[in-house]
Amino acid sequence: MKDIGARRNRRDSDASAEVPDFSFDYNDSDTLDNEIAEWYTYSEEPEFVWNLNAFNDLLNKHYAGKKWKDLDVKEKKSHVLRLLDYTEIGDKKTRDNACRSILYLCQGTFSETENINEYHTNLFENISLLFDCDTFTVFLELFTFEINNLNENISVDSKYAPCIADNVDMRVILSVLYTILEVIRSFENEYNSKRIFANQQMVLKYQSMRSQLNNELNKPMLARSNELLSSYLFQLINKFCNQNIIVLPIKKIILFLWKCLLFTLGGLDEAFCLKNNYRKLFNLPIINENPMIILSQMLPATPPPNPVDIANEFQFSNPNSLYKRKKNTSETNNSTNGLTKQTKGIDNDDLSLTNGINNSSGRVTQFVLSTSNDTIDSENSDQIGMETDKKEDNESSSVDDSENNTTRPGSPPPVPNEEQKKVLEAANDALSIKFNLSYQTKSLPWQPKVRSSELEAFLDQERKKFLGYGDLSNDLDTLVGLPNPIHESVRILRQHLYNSLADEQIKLEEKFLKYPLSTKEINSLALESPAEILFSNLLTNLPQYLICLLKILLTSVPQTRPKNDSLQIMSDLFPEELSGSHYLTIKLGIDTNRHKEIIIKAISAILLLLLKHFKINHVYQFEFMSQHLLFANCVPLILKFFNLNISSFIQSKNNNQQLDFPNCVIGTQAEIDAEDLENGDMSIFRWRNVFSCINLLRILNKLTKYKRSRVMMLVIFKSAPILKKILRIKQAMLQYYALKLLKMQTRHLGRQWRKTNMSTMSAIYQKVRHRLNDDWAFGNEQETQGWDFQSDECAIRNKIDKYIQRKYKSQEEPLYPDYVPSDNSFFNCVKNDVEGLIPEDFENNYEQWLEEEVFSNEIKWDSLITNDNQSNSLILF
Amino acid sequence: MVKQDSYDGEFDELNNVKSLLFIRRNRPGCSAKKWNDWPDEDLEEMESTLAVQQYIQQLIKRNPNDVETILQLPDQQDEGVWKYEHVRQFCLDLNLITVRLQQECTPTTCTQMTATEQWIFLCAAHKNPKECSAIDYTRHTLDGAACLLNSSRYFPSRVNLKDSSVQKLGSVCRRIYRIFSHAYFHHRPIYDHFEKETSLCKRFTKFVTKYDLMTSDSLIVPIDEETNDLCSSNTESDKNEQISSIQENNLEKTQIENENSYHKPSDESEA
Repeated sequence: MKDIGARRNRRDSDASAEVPDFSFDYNDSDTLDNEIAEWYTYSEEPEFVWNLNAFNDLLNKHYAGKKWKDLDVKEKKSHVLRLLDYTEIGDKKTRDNACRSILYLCQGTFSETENINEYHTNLFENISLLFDCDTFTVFLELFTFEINNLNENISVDSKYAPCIADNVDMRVILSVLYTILEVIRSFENEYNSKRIFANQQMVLKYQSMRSQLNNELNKPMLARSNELLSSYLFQLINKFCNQNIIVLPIKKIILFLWKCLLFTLGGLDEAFCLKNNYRKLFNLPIINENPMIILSQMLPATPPPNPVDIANEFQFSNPNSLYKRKKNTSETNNSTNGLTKQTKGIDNDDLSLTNGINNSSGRVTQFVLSTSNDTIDSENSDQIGMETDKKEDNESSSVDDSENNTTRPGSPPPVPNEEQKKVLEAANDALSIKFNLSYQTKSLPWQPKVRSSELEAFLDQERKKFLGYGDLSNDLDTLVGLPNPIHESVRILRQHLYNSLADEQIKLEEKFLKYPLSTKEINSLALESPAEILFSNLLTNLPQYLICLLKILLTSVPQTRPKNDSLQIMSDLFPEELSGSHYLTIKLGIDTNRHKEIIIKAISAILLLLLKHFKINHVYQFEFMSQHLLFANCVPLILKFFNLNISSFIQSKNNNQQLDFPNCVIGTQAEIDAEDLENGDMSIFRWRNVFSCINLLRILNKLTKYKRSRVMMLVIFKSAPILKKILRIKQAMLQYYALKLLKMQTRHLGRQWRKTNMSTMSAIYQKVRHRLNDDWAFGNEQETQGWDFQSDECAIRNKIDKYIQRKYKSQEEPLYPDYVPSDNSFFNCVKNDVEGLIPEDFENNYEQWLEEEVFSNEIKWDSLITNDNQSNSLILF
Repeated sequence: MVKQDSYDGEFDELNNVKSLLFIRRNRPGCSAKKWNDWPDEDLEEMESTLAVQQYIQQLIKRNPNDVETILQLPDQQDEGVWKYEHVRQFCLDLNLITVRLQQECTPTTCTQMTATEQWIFLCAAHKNPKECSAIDYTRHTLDGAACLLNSSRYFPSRVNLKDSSVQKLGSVCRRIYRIFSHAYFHHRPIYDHFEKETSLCKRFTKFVTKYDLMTSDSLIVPIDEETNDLCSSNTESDKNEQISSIQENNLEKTQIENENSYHKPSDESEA
């Protein structure tokens, strides 16, 4: 088994160092079909037939000789209701058969379909029917039953290697739940992107189902519990890691958790809208730049050659192998003739674009300088020179690139004049149309930003210089005594001033500490937002859950040597008895690697999703989570992951379309032999692996952004060469996030590094957002400043603690117990238990009391309004 | 509210008003005769937020065997609320048969919740699936149903219901029906007696069939189509018995009635 894995990996790494161009669309998740296919392992294949058989048995009992598609709507519904009835029967066999039958419905009644379209139609019909009959809740109940059952019969034997037979019932139940959730979640997306066809009625139906389910999942999951489904699943993961309940099908639980979170919190687009909504509440201007759109239009940069690699190649390989390599690439080019042309085309474009950008960026800088020419102070004035220097460097380095790059086909001739002209025109246009997003940018993709603290620092500095004193705390307006050019640059800085939501939240939090009683929550909406509900639910155990996720992630990283204490993550994969046949061994090897890749994908997505939503919801929730990730050694773990052979990871062959569900059960099955398996399928890249790489890079970005001490961690762990390796993969988004991470640390890497990596530097210049005052490319002096990881983290920790104390613990131990407002709410009074408060005899006779004391006493209400002194005094005293 | 008697006969013209001012409330310790002893009211005239329940209970009181009328959806009535209130009423009324079953059905006599000896049902009230004895199953199921129907999570309002909440009624029906089937197959005399008075099972069967909440072949208790005729000859003694049985179970009901009449006293005191 291990041999196979190792062999496959070797083969993978041999495959090719260079990843060909590919077009990858980042999204919240893969297509519905892929997501469902990834749910099942290849070892589970025989179980599809069990489901079919169970279903047919039960159907035949009631509708002899009929097929599911022959039944009318009413019969179908009544059969589903019958099946649900059976799921509560004590006899295990009957119950299991009923569950399997329902799972078969969730699998689109595959034996009655000929092709994928029919399967889709069936799937959507069945899911909608099942959802109407409340299957989701019933199965949630069954799921908790199953888990509780398990708790009683746990075997603490850690040596025991679980196999798929150990959790067969639980997997059936989970599969039903997952399929219902996933289909409802992605229906709209699939429909909009025209991957599926459905009538209008179905679309409406799914819309309402979506909102219903969303509503449901944002509340405690069952009537009797007060837990969210997501937090329940987190607990299971915790149990799996810490209580040694190794039979849990952990991949499925993680996947289900991911979809649950994605569904309740919302994906990228929802997060973007949410952020703008919150910004509006804080009276901040909304953001028009949707990073996802900009990134999807970005073209990948020409990857820099890796000097180490080149050296290695010359050292360790004989000239023959180099030759072979070349031959190999040409062979592949020949075999995919159509592709070659395309690739060349892209190459052409690529280079011309690089030139174009160089040109246009030259123009842009000139433009910026013409308005802010004198504004940039004498210290920065050499920037113009440097800028042009850099431009030259850029060009020369890009030429170097193409020369050094031995594996690439001959670089295309320089850009024709006409095109250059066009580019220039376009660049000029871009300047006139300011930040027009729909425009395919030949200028810089991002609007530059300035933080108000940076503006303040700049003003202080200038005041010191010209007036001899600085420190006018928080005065961003006074320009008195400063020369005109400074006025100009302040104007430009103000133009790009950007206040982040996080800053406002921090300010508000400071206000809360100063005026705890009179400060009001601005974002009262956030109290019911899904992220808020989730956070308050997870708060106490979040650190533990994060450690569990990272543990599992570590175990899933390919090529890690299994240790004694590492987790058993294969319980939903290993067959009961290992078979000796060559085919099956290879299949199991592929399956294992695929399994791990899927776990990585889900965990990376979960972490990113949580970070993103907590950040929007409240920055301290985000800091809380990121600090715990940091303490759990998330940074080195991710770097370790990227230190592996990423290009082969992205091109991994650990998949086989013919084995994927539903392909493996629909239509006639072609014979697959070991050879087919080894070759994998033809796709150039694995969506899930690119997705996880991007996610992990983004997590790293989120953790280190604006945190000097954490950036130093990146430097200390020598992340630069690792990140540079990622640049060799020509995918704009992947490159972008790697460049961003590089940009943070450039000033710490030293002049030498920057000199030798000019192409990387220019890629950063082109792709990453500029901060007008940030001297990332030339600054050096910062290194002398001391940094103290411990004290930085402690300061953040303090603020987080205060926030959590204020918001979540003030009920238990209020900050100012004397000032807790008394509870005057009528409803709360009614809610309280009054038993014992009122004596029993009074309670029995209160009507008489009312009669005598209240109704029989005449109250002269009129005297209230008369100006009679006497009555006034009566009322007053 | 306490003063209502003083209106009696004082002013003739007030007699019309009197019906409006009737306090529909069963007081602690009232006699069986006075139980629910107030005139009927039209649904449109009911001002309480619990009008639908009041209306259904009124129809049942008038003639429990006239199942069709009871289940007839009034005009402009929201179907979800209508279903919800009926299921609620079923749970209330099922308590009546449970009380009678308790005399005969004990954990020793019926150790498992079975109907036709075919299947044993698992009790959903426990953390782990468990085969409770029949009477425990009955009690647990009714308790679970009451918990669900009163949960503020699924049914925060009794005027507007979410579709997702109405969905939940199916599961409740599926579970509480097992009480009927157990009673029918194992405690036939009690069942027959009860059914004759209340036609509860018949009403339930018609209800779930009408709204497609259960499959027809799960409905294993035969219902007598002829009971309708019997009902017209419902004797006075039957009625009394019925009333006394209601009292046995009046706890929950009184609570609801309390809520029911809650608004009126406050209105009056303001007036």
